[in-house]
Amino acid sequence: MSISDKNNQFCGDPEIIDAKGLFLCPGFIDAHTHVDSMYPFYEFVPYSIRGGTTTVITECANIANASGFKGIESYIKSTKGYPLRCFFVAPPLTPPLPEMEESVGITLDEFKKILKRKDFLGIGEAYWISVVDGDERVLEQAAWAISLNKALDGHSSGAKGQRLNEYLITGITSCHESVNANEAVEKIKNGVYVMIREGWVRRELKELSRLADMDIDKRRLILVSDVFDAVMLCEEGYMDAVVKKAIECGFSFFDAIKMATINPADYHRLRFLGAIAPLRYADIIFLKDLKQLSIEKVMVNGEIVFAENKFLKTLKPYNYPEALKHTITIGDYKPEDFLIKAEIGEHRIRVIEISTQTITKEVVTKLVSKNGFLEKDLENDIIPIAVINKTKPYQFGKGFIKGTGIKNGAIATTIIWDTCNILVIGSDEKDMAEAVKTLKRIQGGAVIVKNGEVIYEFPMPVFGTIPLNSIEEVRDKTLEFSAKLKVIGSNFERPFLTIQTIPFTGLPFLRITDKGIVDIKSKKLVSIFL
Amino acid sequence: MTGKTLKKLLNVCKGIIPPDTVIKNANVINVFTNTIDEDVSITIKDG
Repeated sequence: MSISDKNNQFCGDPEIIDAKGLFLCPGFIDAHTHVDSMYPFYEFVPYSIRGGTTTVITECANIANASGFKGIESYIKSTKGYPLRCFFVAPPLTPPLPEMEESVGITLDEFKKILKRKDFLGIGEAYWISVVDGDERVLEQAAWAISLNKALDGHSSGAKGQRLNEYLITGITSCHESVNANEAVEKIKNGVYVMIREGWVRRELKELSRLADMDIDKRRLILVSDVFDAVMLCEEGYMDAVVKKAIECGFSFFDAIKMATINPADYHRLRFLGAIAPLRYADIIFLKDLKQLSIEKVMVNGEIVFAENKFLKTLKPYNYPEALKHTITIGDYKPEDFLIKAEIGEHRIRVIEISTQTITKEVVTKLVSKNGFLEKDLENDIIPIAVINKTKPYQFGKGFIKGTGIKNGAIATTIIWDTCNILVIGSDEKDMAEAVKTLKRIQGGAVIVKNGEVIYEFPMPVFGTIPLNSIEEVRDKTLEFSAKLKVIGSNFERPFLTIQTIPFTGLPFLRITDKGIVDIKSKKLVSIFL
Repeated sequence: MTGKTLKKLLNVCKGIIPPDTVIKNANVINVFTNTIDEDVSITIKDG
């Protein structure tokens, strides 16, 4: 596009759009999200556009872990041809701790191949502990990204001082894990872009709005969602809601707008995006007012695609390859598979305890073996847990977990960070086996069983992590998940988040994988027996 | 991006080749100057 005053010259008979004094804003960019699971891309598009978001940069670690290189290739195709620009960052740690967990993943050669693509803008979040510990995979990947002059998105939660310096020397260019202004400033001082996260996983805008009044270069700040789930997309909007909140939290109007437009465009070297200026794509939001950011129209690539509160395009659903809808190839698990053998008597046992919504810790308890197997302790909320490799017939780790509240049933899901294997937790081993059996039948998603009866199933057959449902249906199933978990006794404040992070080896302290129990601090598989 | 493409866009800008779309009467949020540029026209060709 080109810009001129009202007397600009043009020939021919172009379409004339009278903006009638509306405010034209560059389309918003979500510079860090995870739209590679939980809903099909084509279903996400109208919601993104409705929220003024014309470009997304997504991780694809879920797909890499769940379905490898073929999965990534298919996912890339699934994003093309829609009125929403989608770029990617290449997944570095698939899985995070390969000696202690297994996923389909991608090889270094495959990683290098995808990072050379123009629509791959850099490396996705590489957990800092793996990097500073010298994980050779990620250092090779970082070197490759540097040689291609691409970004290295960081994940430096909690790293500061010397540890942060060690992390940044590997070329990290941004981080979305700052939880307070001091952490953010330390990164900005080192030339790192700070991505302020306001989304499903965490909401940090309020705390980080302290940056608004500081004498720092605001061009180093970027607003990101780190993913909006279906409930948020339906109820809140998208980056329009994030920008509006940034203004409400104290950022100036222009700083807030720039944090979702030119700043991410500059960071990712998207020179044709982020501004209404010559030679940039005409991705434009027509705003009625500057306070409420009420969106009247959205233009993508020169075409109006949203107006009068309606998405104007009819989108053809992407036809995912059949093979990628059948990715769970496990054996037939039986209730006794979830029992743990032990000599008759009392044993000191290492148990995973849920500490916060994303953090676990180790607790030690005494469990009794009466019939050659350890007995769960329902009174103290200690029940069996297992993680099953989704592609191996019979590879799984098992143990005990405290703090789920589950009293009469089981839950199984493939929506787990980062491996996308199968997590199963239950107060009854028969229910656990039934949940796994059902999850295999529906090829991924989430299942809840009570007293042998399946009371909830949410199929996600694509890669085992993407349902073939509309956003509204995903929202309803998400809300139903919370309700049905209560039926079996659990009352997590944020059940989906808490459950899917239980096996996550990127955060402390005691985790479970398909290879067993992992002590994150020592990075070792440990026995449950002490 | 090719030289041919740039020449085409240059000629649209000069008024020699017709654009696809013209947006008139717009108040543009300018992210470089922190201003609202009033009563602006935007000429669009090939997105």
